[in-house]
Amino acid sequence: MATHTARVQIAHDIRRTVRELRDRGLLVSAKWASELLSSLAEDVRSAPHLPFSPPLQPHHMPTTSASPGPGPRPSIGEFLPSPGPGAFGAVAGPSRSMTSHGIEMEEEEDVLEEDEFQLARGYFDMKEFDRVVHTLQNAKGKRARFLRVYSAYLSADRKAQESLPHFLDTKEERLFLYPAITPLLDETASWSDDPYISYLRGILHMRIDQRHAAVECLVKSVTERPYNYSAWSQLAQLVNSADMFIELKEMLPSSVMLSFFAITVMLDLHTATDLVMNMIKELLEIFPHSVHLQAQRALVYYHMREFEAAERAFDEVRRLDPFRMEDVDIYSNMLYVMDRRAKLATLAHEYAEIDRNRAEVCCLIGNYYSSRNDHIKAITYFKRALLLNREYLPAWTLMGHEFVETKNSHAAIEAYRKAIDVNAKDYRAWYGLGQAYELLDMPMYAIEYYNQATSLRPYDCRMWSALAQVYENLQRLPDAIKSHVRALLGADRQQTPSILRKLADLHTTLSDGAPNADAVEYHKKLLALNTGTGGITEDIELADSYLAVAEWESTRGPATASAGGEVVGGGGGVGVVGGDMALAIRYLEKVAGMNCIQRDRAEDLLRELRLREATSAV
Amino acid sequence: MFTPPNPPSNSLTFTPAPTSAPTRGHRRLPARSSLSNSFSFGPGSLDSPAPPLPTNGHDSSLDASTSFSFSLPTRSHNPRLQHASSQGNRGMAQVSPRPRPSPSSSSRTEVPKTRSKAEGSRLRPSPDPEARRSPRKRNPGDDEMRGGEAAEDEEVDWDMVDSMRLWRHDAIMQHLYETAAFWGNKILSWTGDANDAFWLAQTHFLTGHYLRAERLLTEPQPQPGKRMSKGKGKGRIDEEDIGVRNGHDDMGRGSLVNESLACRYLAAQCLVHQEKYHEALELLGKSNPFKELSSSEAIKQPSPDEGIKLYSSMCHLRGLLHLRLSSLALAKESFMEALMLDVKNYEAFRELIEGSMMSAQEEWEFVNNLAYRQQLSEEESRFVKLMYLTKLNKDAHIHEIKHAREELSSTYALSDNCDVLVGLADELYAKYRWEDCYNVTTKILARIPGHDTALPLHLACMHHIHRLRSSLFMLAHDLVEQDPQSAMTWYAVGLWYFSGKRWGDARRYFSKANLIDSRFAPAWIAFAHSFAYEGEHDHAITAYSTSARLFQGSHLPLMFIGMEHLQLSASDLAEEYFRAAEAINASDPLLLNELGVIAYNKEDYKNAVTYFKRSISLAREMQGVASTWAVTWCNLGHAHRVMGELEEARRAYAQCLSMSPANATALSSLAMVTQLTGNVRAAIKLYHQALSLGPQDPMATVLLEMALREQTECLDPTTLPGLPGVLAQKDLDPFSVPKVSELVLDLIPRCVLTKD
Repeated sequence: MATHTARVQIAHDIRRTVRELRDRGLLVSAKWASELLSSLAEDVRSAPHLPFSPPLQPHHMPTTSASPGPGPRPSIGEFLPSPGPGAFGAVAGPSRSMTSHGIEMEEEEDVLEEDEFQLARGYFDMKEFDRVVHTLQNAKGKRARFLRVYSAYLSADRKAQESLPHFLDTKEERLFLYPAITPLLDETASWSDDPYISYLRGILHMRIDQRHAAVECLVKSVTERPYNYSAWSQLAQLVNSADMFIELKEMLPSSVMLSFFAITVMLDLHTATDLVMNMIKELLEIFPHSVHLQAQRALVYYHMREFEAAERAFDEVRRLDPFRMEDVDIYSNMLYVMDRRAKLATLAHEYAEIDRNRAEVCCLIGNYYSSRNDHIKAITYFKRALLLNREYLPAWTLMGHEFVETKNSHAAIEAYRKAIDVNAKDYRAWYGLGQAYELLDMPMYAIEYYNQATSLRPYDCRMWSALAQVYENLQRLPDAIKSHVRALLGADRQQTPSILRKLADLHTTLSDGAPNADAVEYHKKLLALNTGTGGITEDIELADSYLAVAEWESTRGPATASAGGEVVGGGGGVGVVGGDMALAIRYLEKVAGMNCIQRDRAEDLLRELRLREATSAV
Repeated sequence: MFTPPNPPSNSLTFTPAPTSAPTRGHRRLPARSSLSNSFSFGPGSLDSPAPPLPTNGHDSSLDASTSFSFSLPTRSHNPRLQHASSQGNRGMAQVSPRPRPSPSSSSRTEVPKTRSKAEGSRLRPSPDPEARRSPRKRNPGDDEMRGGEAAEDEEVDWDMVDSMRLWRHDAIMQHLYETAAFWGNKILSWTGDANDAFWLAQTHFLTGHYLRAERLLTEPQPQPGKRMSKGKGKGRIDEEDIGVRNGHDDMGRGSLVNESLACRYLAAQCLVHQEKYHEALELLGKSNPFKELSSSEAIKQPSPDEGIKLYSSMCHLRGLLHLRLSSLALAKESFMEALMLDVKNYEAFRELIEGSMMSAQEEWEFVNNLAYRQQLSEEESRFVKLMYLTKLNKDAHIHEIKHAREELSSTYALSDNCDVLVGLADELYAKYRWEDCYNVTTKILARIPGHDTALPLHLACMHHIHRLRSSLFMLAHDLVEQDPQSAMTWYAVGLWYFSGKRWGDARRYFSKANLIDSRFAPAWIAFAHSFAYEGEHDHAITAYSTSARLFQGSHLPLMFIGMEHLQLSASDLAEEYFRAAEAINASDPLLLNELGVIAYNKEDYKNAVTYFKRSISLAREMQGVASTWAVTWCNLGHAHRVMGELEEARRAYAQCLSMSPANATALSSLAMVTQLTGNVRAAIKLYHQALSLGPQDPMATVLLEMALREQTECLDPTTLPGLPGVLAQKDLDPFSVPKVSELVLDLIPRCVLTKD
């Protein structure tokens, strides 16, 4: 798909971005980009597109230093809009020069401030953020400016977290963080030509819940510096619907990174399909050694509920990079769901050996304890994960689940809420919230949260059933019926009969217990389902249905000619106009033959029916 | 008859006495004056005419007092009551007893010049008396005197009394007050001269012996003791002296206060220091006795000797006394008079402006229209005016003030001067830019510790900037150690407690500050605030009222009273106070906001909107921190909402939120507007956001429940956002739709519910 030179160009761009990211203390992105770089094919990486070790050259000769070797130069023209020595500068940004090591420096100020900057970097690496801010007070270079504001943000964030009176409290955190962030936004407002500043502004906007502005900033940032993965993943967090994703896709230039972004978003929106699989395959051609892509593949399998395949993929990832921590939490979730406790335990022990101070690993251990029903310990580990990374979504949701298990609804609610704060697309958290409020007997709130969950997963039977249940409790039967009907769409074989029975019951209740066409309809469906699939349900559980159908048929028996009966009968699939007496008798006999509470009623009806038959025969 | 103002000189304002310079050819060499410079109170003595070569080289370095602007004593008989009015205009110089022949005694003065020649072998030859007098102190009489002076230049004798006067003077300069008093007393006994009495009284005053000074001035002058004449010239002088005295004795010797304005002024000062305010006022007169004289004409005259007009000082003292006696209106009048009489009288200016005796507009006009040009040279007048302008209230005229400051920095190179910087700090504070203000005040205080206008600003900033609380503690501690007698110190201590919400303790220290200085506005206001914050509205109102009475030019106390009444839901009372505050300062955005609230409470929403809008536009003009006014935006939203202008309301709330994203009220109000426009689901989301910031907000909770009920009742599950088309059909037949597994969309999980 991409030519060799294009790939060489990618390698070059990534390499440059890695250095810029590292200079700015964006460590996660830098790590990711470096991984990406190393996952390129060997020949691409070593291609002499760039002067890796040019002769020593002074700073102020940007044009000559950019093309030391005559070889591959002209080939850039295929990829770049304006070829030639100047083209390099056009892509790389304004006024570039080279250090003595052939590494471009960004701005004149950056060169001048090199010493201060390195000092600040040292402080930054030691997490002395306030000191960085102080050191770079008067710095003018883009790098230094970014590092200063970024450090100020990190410092404010850390203080906000330390200010929390209680672990689950999110209000205090905001009240602390908001006033600190606004001045930073004001300060950076005029520097938005710097893609990294744009990225930072995006994050800041996100933190104070200004989503539109955040999207704008991030889009700007990724357009100019596509290999900043953090920007992409933040952007992915902001995408809250498929429509929005499509819209965004139009705005963004198509590139390799856009595919990475698309994969993340589609996983996030729970719309992962074979399409995503194909995208991953294509990307793997360019980045043949990318463990990240392998892991993504595992995730897609997981989202497609192909657990076996997902497990294989996860194992493959582990083989390729045994010390990789990312996504191990999701792997553990899957093992939990698959109830593979032994494997989960092994995994937990092995990763705990490597580093138990990683949010992912803590999450894994939490899952392990949860699988052993040790909820308190599980909560401890989830908490620990969150102390390491307060924005770590899975831990919040999982902790909410654990709190539900320990019957601590209030804590559960707080945890879920925080999860939603982090990522409003997490339907599990919404669903959990609904459940918690249902437990607290606050049905209206429950409806609201189930609504959210349902909107996110419109074909998920559980959401609809839960919603229907609340409506039923509120005596809003028509709404309950509507919900159940929708639940039916997503229901599997185990769930369908109970939903059908619920629907029939609801219709019966609506007509004050009198037999009713809609109810009978559902009873018939239920019976049909049972016979069609070879009886999953015990007959004894269907006694009600048999009885209801029989009663219906028998009551309208003589009045066959009535119009109402015809309509319903047509839908019933029996094909007989009027009451199907034979069917009624057959069903009644069946029920009468069973050892169940409906037996007496069935016998009575049977007797009556026989009597009527006899009289009509006479 | 008035000496023209000195031509602006670049270095120091001291210019050699024009007439004396030619008579003596020598000028003191600059190098020798090193010590004298350190002593000199007045302008440097470099250019001053030197005495005719002292024999000992080192001597001239000791004659520090040569440059003292209070010049040498002599038996001048000038201060006489009959000249009182003109004296007043001429100021202190007239009174300053220095060797200057009055027409009546011209025959016997001007000895000293020759005396130093005669006594050249003395260890400490006296410097030329002419050199000691500032040329600025020349008075109209001088020109005539010169004649006599020149004529008597040959006089060789120097009286012992004169030399003792010199001792006295040097002693005062070197803070050897006892010495000065000791010799001065002897001199007075011999001469009985008014000037000697004045100087002795001055010495007593400087030592803090106010009673002694007062007695000396108020009691009838004693007859001078007869003294054996020792030298040839002395007898003659004595005789002459007596002769002059005798002339006065005919009229009866009164006390000095009746003879000299300067003495009267000093006596009044003594009384003030003894806290005998009524007596002092009696001495000075309740109002300016020279009012007619001092009216328009006097105002336009420059001070005759270019010093401060004595009248002005007296008016200032009178103002202080009125203040002490709590007649504020009279005090204000006196201060204004003092400043009008002499624009250079900064203390009168300070009382007026920093004591908030005038409203912003009033002071702006008053200070702008002072007779600068008439009293001062062009350059001086421009400078003084600019200097004053920077110190005015920053609420209105912010641009002019800023301009004035810029000019001071650029033209007069005063950008680093502390007083100019204080103007900047004050402006920043008025704009609510605490951090910037703090930086400026820190700079000022580093140079002048305890700068009395910068320090309150500094303290207030420290209170506002949370991280500086501990520095506030430290600073308060330091102040207590350095200056326990100052109101500021205890204000700082109180402020520290105030920051820690310990209202009771804070209050104790604020009232201590008030006891020390009842004119210290910040402590009064803070004192009242401590009640207000504690919810003690009635006490707060009382306290604010006191400060309103004390600081009549400030609209703040009135506004605060109004705010307290508003909290007590006494809208009418509140409005009254707000109106009163508005009369003083109609351009305070905060006040306009409060007025808007009043209008809102009175359901006069149109007016409320107007007020809020004006408040916002004024705040914008101030160019302060925009987010301070987020609340006003929110209020504007409320007013629009109640009037049913939902779109405007929505915009106002959105603006408020963009300024302060953590504003729960704005969020829940925005939610309400959204709900009113029919978008229940969006409203629910917003209510949630509001509640996540303020979980206990009862309004938002109730509204959320209403919204949820509405959603449950009016929106059935088919209307959920984001549903695929099929699911949104009202009468969906589940059996006609393909099963989900056949749809392309994701599969249905088969896992346990709680976990996947």
